[in-house]
Formats: sequence, structure tokens, C-alpha cells
Amino acid sequence: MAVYVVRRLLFLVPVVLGVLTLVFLMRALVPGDPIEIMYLGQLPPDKATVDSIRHELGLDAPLPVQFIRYLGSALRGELGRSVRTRRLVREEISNRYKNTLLLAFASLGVAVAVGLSMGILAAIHRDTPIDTATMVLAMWGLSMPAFWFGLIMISVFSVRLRWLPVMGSDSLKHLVLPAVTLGLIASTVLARITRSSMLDVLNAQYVRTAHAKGLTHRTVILRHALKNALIPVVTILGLQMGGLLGGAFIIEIVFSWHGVGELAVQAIQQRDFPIIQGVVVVVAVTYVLINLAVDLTYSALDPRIVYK
Amino acid sequence: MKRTWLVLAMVLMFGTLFTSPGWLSGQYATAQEAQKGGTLRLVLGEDPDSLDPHGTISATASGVQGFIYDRLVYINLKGLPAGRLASSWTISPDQKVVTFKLRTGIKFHDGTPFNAKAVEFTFKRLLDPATASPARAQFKEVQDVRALDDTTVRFTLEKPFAPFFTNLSTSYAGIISPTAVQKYGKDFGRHPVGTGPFKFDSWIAGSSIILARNADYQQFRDDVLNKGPVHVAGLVFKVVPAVGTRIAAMEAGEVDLIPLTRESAARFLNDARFQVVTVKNAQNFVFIEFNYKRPPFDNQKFRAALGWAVDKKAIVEGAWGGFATMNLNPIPVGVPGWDDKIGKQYGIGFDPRKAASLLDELGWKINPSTRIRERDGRPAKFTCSTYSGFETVKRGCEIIQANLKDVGMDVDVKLTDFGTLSAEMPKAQFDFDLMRWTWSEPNILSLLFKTPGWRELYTDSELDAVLDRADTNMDAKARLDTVKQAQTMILQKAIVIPILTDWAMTAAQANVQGIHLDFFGTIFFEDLWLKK
Repeated sequence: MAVYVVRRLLFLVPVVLGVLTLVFLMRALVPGDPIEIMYLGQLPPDKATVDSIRHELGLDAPLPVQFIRYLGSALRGELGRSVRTRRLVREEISNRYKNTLLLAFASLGVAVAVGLSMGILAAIHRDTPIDTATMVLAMWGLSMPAFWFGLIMISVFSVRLRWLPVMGSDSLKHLVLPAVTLGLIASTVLARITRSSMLDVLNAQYVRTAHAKGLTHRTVILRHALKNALIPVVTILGLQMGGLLGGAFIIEIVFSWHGVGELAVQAIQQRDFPIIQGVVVVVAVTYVLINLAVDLTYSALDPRIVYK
Repeated sequence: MKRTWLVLAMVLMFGTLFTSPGWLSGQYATAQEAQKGGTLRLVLGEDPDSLDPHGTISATASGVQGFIYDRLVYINLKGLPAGRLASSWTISPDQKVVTFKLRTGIKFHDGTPFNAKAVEFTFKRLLDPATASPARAQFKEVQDVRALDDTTVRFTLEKPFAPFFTNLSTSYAGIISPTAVQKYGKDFGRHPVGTGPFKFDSWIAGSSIILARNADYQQFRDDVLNKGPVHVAGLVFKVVPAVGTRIAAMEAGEVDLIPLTRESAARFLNDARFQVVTVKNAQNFVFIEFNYKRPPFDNQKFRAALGWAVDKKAIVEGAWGGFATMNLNPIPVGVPGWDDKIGKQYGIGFDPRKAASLLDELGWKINPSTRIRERDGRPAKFTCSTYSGFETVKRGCEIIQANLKDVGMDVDVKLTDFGTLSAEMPKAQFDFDLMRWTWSEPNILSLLFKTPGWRELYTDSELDAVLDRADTNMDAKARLDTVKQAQTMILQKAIVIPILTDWAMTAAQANVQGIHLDFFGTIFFEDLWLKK
């Protein structure tokens, strides 16, 4: 197991290198000079000033040199400085990553609670109005644009009822609406997967055996059926978690939740390449780690799965 | 200015005319009636990059800096420079030396005394190439700044420079504390210290900025009623990039003032919970500009023909929802030198017949089978480019497309994000575009049209000479005559087709009192107070 984990962690190195190279290549291809874009619409600075800023940020060197320098500083744990604020990319991202983590875990909590409940409910009431209603609800949630749902939530709970704040990331109260919005959207996929996975398991012989030996329906469902139905659910959960940690871009913008998603959108608009690169690297590493965690969870759920 | 945050910041900076009758009749509260305390909650479209006036020229940052740093002069209600930290000044006969007398007894927020040395320090830092200040270009004519004694400072200019006083009144010319710069070094932009009505309190990167009332503040502007410290206890700026969120926050009572977009304005106009400030003489203008290097747009007559085919009123109504003033002058309505008569006499209005006849004259004839004009076998198929993310300019382009179809031109609309669009423009790979600029100084004409033009596509020595005269004449009235002459020339040459100036609108909660505006339409925060 330990060898497997180390091997997977080593896999991070080519992933990060690949991501860095790709993002850097994109930077060469995308039109628009970051310094020029920073001052668009203003009286442009004189050439000497632009050259000086370019030099300070190392943007005057040929692209291959910039790339090697960037790789060197990335190895030292530095991701450069933001073109716009000149602050360290590491600082800009770490401040916001805490918020993104918080939102991701809170949303996941909502998604698991709602998604699993809906999925189990639909499965055990298969082909009844409860099943149909649950799945219609899940389909409705699945096809709803996140920004629209976010605005509806704001309109109801913040503007009309005034129960919760519209925006910001200052307190747990500010977390409720974005987490519930994001969690409810994520729960719809979970509900559908849980339902179909549970239906497979409910027909299995060991479930019939569990019923036959006199266990209560509740114990059969929660201890025997659900545990075995969870493997595909965990896979989806892992993918969703990766997405949530990568920054729920739209939701962060709608609720002014100051996470990496919001930062990334602004950085893209402003061609702040060091920030974009930093965010992409952090998101890529997050995905790899989450996938590793998912794989390890498989073996915890099903002892037949062994990693060597 | 095309970008959302910039537009929003400019709207906050330039308010102009309140639709609520109180503003029109001057019924704002006097300093004696105002209630003290409370925090005004405002929004920013983005987190400012720096609060060092020499570290940024972003309009968002400038909007916040304006509260922290006072300047030597301000522009009074007549549009003329008046003393703020400077009590008076003299200009040498050759108009190249300006000597300011400074006020005394003023301290920076950190206790450092304000004096001529601080002014010298500020401008020497701004002009030092090592500072690499993006604002240096606005003071490039300044050769030397010297403190002659504790209260006298002398600016020596390379040549007379008409925008000098306006530039001195901007936040980029805010006077900074030399002690604080020495203390914080490169981090000064995160610990700004000035002499302004608000002092810096805290900044949560990406989230909010808090400013507190400067209890020692003395106001020297004649157009501000409150001569002492501000009424409110402080300002909180919240970073809210999404327009929809900002509107919801206003409706939920979480913020006190927000800039309005065309789409959101109607929602607040007839709601008693809010007041709406409408600035009709705003400092922006929307226009069609061309790729002057690509035929047929190198031809003045063709450009004029295209202009005559465009229904400006339809764009005001259809694209801006009526929240704009048709403007046929190549300068914003709120900038000194704008004169309705010029637009009326030389402007390119809406006359499709004239457009058609000009096109016929140029040899662009309708092909009966396609209904599209052609010349030498080339069909009149063009692209109207504009920047994405703004419904107004997109709809504007669509109306232009329909108008031009009526005179036999087949036009595609191309939306590109602003960064890409402006990067592509100097490569001269486009036909014409719909653009919007915001600037409060008549030298907007030089910024846009002086060789090589803002996108390096236009050269005109005759116009350059007139613009040079306008930029070097320090006699305000005589200068404006030259500015008018330049506008006439631009219209006669059909360099651009001006369309409109959109209104800057701000919504305020009903309890925000004391609102009135300066020459540029900026709300005086020094006079604002919150009714309990």
C-alpha cells in the first residue's frame, strides 16, 4: 500500500511538469500583452516605464528562458509574482484557497447528505411516485444553470427573507448559501448514481440473505446494501470534490465568495499569467490527490481491492 | 474603461445629477444638520492592485486613493483649478514655471508634517524611473520639482502643458507621507498614508478595504460644505465582481451605494427605498473608429457615408435603453470644450439617402442579385468588431449592422474580449469597431487622435499641429477654442463617427444624505451622512 501511495505521489511530478508546460505554451499563443492590458483604457505609461515593469517581472526574457526560470522557482515552491498586484502568487492563492476548501467541504457535506438520502429513497421505493418525484427533482437540479440557481437562492433567502447575507466570505453565515447552492447541484448526480447502484445491490443474494437471517430493513439497507453500493458513488464524489476544490468559478463569483475560482476568472480577464499558472497547478495537484484518496477509499470500502 | 470594473469605478467617481428633486433644488443637508457616525458600505468591481498612487493607474484603485490622499489643487464647479493643499500659485511669463504656496498646520495620518519637502519627495518619487510609475506619463512635462522653503514648491515644466492642473488634481498626484514610504518601502501600496479625509485601516486581499475617518481633517475645497472631519465613521469597500450580486446586495440593504448599469437602472428608478443619481454630462463617449490602413476605410468619404447610415438615436434607445445622450461631437459631453453647436454643424447625423448617394459617388453600386453594393468586383462585406461582455455595445453593433444593410452593406458582428481586441487592433486586421472611452480632460483628443493614434493606425500632421496647440496653451479659455477647432477637424475628416455619451448612474439607499456633486459629477463623500 505504502509503495502504491509513493508511486502515485511521484506521478505528481510529470503531471505538474506537463501542466506547467501546457499553460506556458498557452501564454505564448494567447494574444494580449499583460502589461498593456493592465493599462488599457488609461493614459498608457511611457515606454521606459513599461520596459522597467516588464524587466521587474522577468517578462523581457525570451520565452524559453522565462520557462526555465519559472520551473526553477516552482521547484523552490515559488510561483512568481502577480503581474497586476506584484504580490507573490503563493500568497494570493493561499489566502483564497482556504475559502475554496471551506466551500468545497461544506458543499460536499450538503451533496452527500442530500444526494445519498435521495438516491436511497428512490431505490427502496423503486417505480413509485416517490422514485419518480426524486428523480425528476434530480434531473431538474442537474439541468439548472448554477448562476441562475445561485441568484434565485439570493433572491429568496437574502433579498426577500433576509435570513442570510448576499455576498462575502467573512463568516460561516456567509458560507451557507453558496454551500447549499453548490451542494444541491452536486447532490443531483450523486442521487442518480446512488439510486442505480443501490438497485443493483438490492437484488444481490447477500441482501436477500441478510433479510432472511432476520435483520431489520434499516440495517440491511444501511450496513449491507449501501456500503457495497458506495464504490461508484465514491468515484463520482471524488470527481466532484476535485471540481469543487478547483474552484466553483460561477458560484464564487455569484456569491462574491473570495476563492481561487473568482481569482482565476479575474486573472484570465487581466492576462495575469503567473496567477493563472499558479491556479492551474494547484487545481491539477488537487485533482491528483483527490483521485488518490478515492482509490484508497475503494480498498477501505471493499477489502477485495488491494493495491500493491 | 471598457472593462466592467473600470466602468464601475468611473461611475462611482463621476456621479452627476440626481433624479431625486432634492439634489436639483440643492436641498442637501448642511454640515450643521448632518448626523455623525455610521459606516458607508461601497462596492468595488475588483480588488485594487495597489493603493500607492505611483504604483497604479487603475480607476478602481484611484477611486479608493482619492479618499486617502489630498492633492495640491482641485477643479472647482466652474471647471477651473483651485487650491486644496496649495493656497495659491503663480505661473511664470513663459508658462514653464509654476510656484505653489502651501497651507500650513496639516499632518499626514502618521503624524508626519505636510510641507514642501513632502511635495518634492512625492513628485521626485513619481518621476524617478526607478519607481517605474505608470502615472509618470501624465507628468512627463515636469522637468524638476523643488522645495524652495517649508511652504513653497516650484515645478519646472519642459514646455507649457495645459492638462497640468487637471492632472495635479487627480489621485495619481496625491501627496504621500515620506516617513511611511521609508517605513514600508515597496509595501507602501498596502499601507497607504496621506493627508486625506479618510485614513487607511485594513485590507483583506480580494475581499474588502476599510478606511476610517481622519479626525484631524481640515477641508479647503470651496465646493464642500463640511470644513472639518467627515460625518461618517468610515468607509467599507467590498469587492463584488458580479453586477447581479451587487444589485441583490443593494436590495438586501447590505451596501449603501452602487453604480448602475443600463440593465439595472430601471429597477431602482421608481423604488422609494433608493435614490438614483444620474450624470448626463458624463466623461465618456461611444464612437465608431476605423482601420485607417485598410481600404475603403482609408477614404474619408467612405467613412462619412458609413456614418450617415447609422441611426444614433436608435442606438441610444435600442442599445442603451434611453440612458444616454446622443453625442455627435468627438469628445464626451462632460469634458470642457464640448459644444453642442459643433456637433450640430459638422457632426455626422442619420441620413441614409446621403449615405447611399456618397457610396454611389465612390463607385459602390448595388448588385441587383445580391442587394449588396460592389466596387471593382469587391462586395461591401465588412465586420463590426467590439468587446464582449457588454450588452450595450453588442446591441449597438447589431443596430449598425441593420442600418448598413439598409444602404447595401453586409456586416458581420464580431465580439472579442477586450484584451484580445486591443492587441489585434495595431495589426490592422479589422474593418471598423464600436468603442467607448472615458476621460475627463480635453486632451482626450490627443490621446485618441494624435499620431499614431491610440491604436497606432492614424497619422495626420495637420491635426497634430492643432492638438499640440491645445495641449500647450495654459490659458484655459483660449485653449478651449483650439479644442473646438480640433473637434471640427476630426468631424470634417470623419476620423470617427461619434454616437453617444452614456449616463453614469448610481443608486443610493434612501438614508444616505447630503449627496451633491463636484464639477466631474463625483459625489462629495465629505458631506455624506447616514440618517438614523
